[in-house]
Amino acid sequence: MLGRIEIAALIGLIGGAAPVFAHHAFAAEFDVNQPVEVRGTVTKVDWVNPHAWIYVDVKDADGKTVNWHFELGAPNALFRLGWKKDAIPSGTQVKISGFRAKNGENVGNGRSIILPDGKELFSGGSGPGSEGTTKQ
Amino acid sequence: MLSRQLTTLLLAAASLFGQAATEPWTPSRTPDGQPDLQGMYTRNGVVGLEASPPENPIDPSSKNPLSVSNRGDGLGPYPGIFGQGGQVLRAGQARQQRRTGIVDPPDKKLPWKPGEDAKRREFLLHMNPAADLRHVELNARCALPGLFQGEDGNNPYQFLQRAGEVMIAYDYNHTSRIVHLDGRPHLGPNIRLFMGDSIGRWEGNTLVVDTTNFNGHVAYSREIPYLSDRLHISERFTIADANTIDYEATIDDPELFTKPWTTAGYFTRVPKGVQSMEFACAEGSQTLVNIFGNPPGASK
Repeated sequence: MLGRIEIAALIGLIGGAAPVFAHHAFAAEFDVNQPVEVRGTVTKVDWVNPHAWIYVDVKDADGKTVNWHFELGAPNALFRLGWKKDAIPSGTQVKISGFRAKNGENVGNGRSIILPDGKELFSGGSGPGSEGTTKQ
Repeated sequence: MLSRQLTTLLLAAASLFGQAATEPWTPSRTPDGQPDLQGMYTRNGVVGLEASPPENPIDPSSKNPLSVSNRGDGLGPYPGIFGQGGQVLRAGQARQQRRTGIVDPPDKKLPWKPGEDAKRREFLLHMNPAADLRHVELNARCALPGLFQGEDGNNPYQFLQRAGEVMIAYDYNHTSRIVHLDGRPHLGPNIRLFMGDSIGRWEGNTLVVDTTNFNGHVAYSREIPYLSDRLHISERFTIADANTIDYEATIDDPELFTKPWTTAGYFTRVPKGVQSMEFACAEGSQTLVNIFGNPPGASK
């Protein structure tokens, strides 16, 4: 299985940003006018089709813990990039930004997932705008 | 230090770059005498946009002025990872220069019946927010993808051949189609299918396929969100070289268009070691809940 650095090198070598596809249209499901950013503790990562999901316990303004769900890429896309099911153990601290689902629940599309040390998860080994990341 | 797997991928990419498309290619033969096109490929360039497509309120591409990709802060909707799995599959394909997109009519203006074009433009307007279930795109409902919605580039297709048949196994939505080469007629008109009924024949190194019996629940693209059950598709898969199949599809849908039109693209073999994986869309799809909310009485 390829490591993330090798994947980034491969993508850099082959070049050519490709359009980003998903099996469903973003705008039908998520609200671009409701950007969200949460900090919390990972409770679970579900590697299910058609999209993996990450679950995070977040303290709201009243100090109450609520569980947020964020959509990730398809499991086969993550796997082909070298990610394994146990890549993010429960208990990991993360900051997630994305857009809220139109149903108004604590659900979103995970645009960016960042660890306390600044490392970005599920980005193919590089952050937005740097080599290996598809610019949209 | 590059791993052996990465080196293999890069060598595969280099061999693809090195293929001279102009040299005649003689494919090997299967035991029953068919030109052998077996292997795993991605498809490229087929679903090209028509000229002046309608604004699509759910299209995430930056071409669409309503798209979330055009946010002032530059943040697109999806992380780059959504496309990068496909880039691994497409290693070595960047320098291919072949016919792609709508090739007939040459001006890419599709021969819509005016009333039907107006209906589809109205339909698109009701997809965001989705007015009802019917206006949620078929892919998002985990419908089988038909011949054009197999997530080209992000999910490979595997061609398998046995006596009298070519099977195309889709990575996307874990489905398949079988092209029967034994001269049988199409199924009766009462049998309607997402993937249609395909019969075919070989003309030299070209597999010619005729597909009918669609069910009226397949799309061509996000701009053409449905095709009718009168859809009739003629395809040509031409083995161009060891790693490339040129593709052409003529779409004849007399319900929607005044005459047939043709799109083109090509399949390129994926690097060695790529495997198809289960993509069971229904397993964990949250799309309908995320749009419409939980059904009454459902636990959250």
